Amino acid sequence: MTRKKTFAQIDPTEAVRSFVFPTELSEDQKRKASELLKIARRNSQGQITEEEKLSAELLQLRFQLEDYINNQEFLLNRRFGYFLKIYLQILKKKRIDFAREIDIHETLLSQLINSRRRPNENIMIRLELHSNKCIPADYWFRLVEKERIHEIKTNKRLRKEEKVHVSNRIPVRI
Amino acid sequence: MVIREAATENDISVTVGILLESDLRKLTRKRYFFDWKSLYGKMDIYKLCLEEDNDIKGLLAVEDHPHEYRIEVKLIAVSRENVIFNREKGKKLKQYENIAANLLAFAGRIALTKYSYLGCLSLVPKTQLKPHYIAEYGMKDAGPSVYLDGSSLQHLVIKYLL
Repeated sequence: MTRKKTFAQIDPTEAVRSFVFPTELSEDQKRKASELLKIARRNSQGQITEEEKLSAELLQLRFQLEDYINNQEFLLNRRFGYFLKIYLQILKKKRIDFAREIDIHETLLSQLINSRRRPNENIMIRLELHSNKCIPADYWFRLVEKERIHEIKTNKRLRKEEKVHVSNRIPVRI
Repeated sequence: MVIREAATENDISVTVGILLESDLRKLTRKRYFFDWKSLYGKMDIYKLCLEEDNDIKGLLAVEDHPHEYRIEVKLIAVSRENVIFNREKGKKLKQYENIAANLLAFAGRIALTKYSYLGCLSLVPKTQLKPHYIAEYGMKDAGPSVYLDGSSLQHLVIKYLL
């Protein structure tokens, strides 16, 4: 049976719940389709509200965080402070105002943004509440954990220091 | 991310990830309807799998149009056991529901992650299916294409992915 005949045996509602079919367009048809899409989008873009922009930016941050957390690779320029800074930029908040809104000192906020200090769980919960759960506390938590995992894996200094406290190591190496 | 098991109506956890070369041997036309192997390397292909056993339940091929902040869905197919043909209506249930919707929402997630509020998801449907995409996913009519952007795009992504 040909593919065409196979698909003719599927109800349209079922078809859109199961497939997006490939379509063959000529170059001219492609150009026209692209032009019509641009016109339609121009109209709908003009109707986007500030609230919709904000929620899109927060979703973008959430997905970027998700992707980074789920990726194995640790990047020095993608720590807690980096994502917190983006959050503030999205909200167009001054540090002094944001620090007040989550009840921390502005100095502490700067230290967090500059990755000179790590947040405790209270701050992560406050961030979740401030974002109306757009960015859940566990995302911030896993972000900090990722940094800590990287540190314990790569901390040569600590290994050197702790060596003196270990004796009678097991005789095999795996 | 979940799909619904039709028989029990339970939500089952799934993941969507990039299709690997090692997956290609599993992608028969019989089970996945199209020649996915021929698309490999030409566009970005994603697979939707059950978390528990990594079995591929659906596939998505997309093309990025960065200058237009747009992700175009070129092809979606669920696996054979998840489609009901007319002759099977009332005789069998599909195994899982919402596979294609999740894949479409995942394509929307790509658009939002890359392009934020400027992001757009589009596809060129078969003419007779256009009203059905509009009804099923709230897509907007743009001549040969249908698309989602702004709040309609966010709505689809939130509905299926969060």
